Amino acid sequence: MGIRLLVYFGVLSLGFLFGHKDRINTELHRKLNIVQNACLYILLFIMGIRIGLDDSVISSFLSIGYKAVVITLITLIVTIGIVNLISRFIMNRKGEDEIEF
Amino acid sequence: MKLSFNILLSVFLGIFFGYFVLPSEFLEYTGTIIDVGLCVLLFFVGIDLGKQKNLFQNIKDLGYKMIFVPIGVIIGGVVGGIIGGLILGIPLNEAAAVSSGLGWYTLSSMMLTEYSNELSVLAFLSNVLREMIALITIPFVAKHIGFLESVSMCGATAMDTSLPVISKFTDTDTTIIAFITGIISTISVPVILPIILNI
Repeated sequence: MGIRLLVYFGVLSLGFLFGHKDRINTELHRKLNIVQNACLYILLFIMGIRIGLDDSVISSFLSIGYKAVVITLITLIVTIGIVNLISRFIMNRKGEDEIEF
Repeated sequence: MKLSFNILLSVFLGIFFGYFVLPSEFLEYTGTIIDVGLCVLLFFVGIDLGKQKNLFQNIKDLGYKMIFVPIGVIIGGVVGGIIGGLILGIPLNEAAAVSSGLGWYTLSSMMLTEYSNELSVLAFLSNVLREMIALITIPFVAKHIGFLESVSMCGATAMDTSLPVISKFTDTDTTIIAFITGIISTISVPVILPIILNI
């Protein structure tokens, strides 16, 4: 895990240096954005393949899937609620989260 | 909306191909493909961060308050599990241990194997679902609820698999908070999970 984290941090830092030193012009950045999208969808597709290939996930989903769904959904709702309070009252970010999609 | 649909389509197409089309031997290659793909995407995230000239000032402005996001994620994981346990009628420490995996399905399921096989499978499934739901709903949550709330769903995966999606649908400040949240969540799982299980 430690080595993996270092690799991720190293790759992020390398990208940061390229971006910071303006080595990538607007036209190239536009093209890279297309590559970025393609990579993202391929990565998600491969992650889906991993789930589909893992028989234990599919078979266990049929038996105890509802428990996993309940725990996951409640955890997500509670987590979003707590972080929403943190965002509003501690980080004062209300109204800042606006970006064009 | 279109990007949310594309994310959903990519994941479900992958599940379909994995289950119905591809041989199980393909599984051993997917780890390498994901590692390479993730590094390429993290490189692009780094470029986006590097292009923001006032990045370090933004980090300085955010300051110590950033730490509250991972704290909220960890508390949310434990409390969510307890409420889930109350609804399902399963021991509260077991339900909380499952949800305190924070999306890190390999480690949480491995740590629970010695305790109970069923709990291990439940942890695996629940945390795989967390990652899937987070990836699919990040665009919606970021747009309609908030950027930090979209980060909170990812838990431990905010520093790797979810980071490119967070970067795409939020801003650079949030991307930094996501990376830090992912690191702290990841470190917390092997510490908090055994403590909760032994309560």
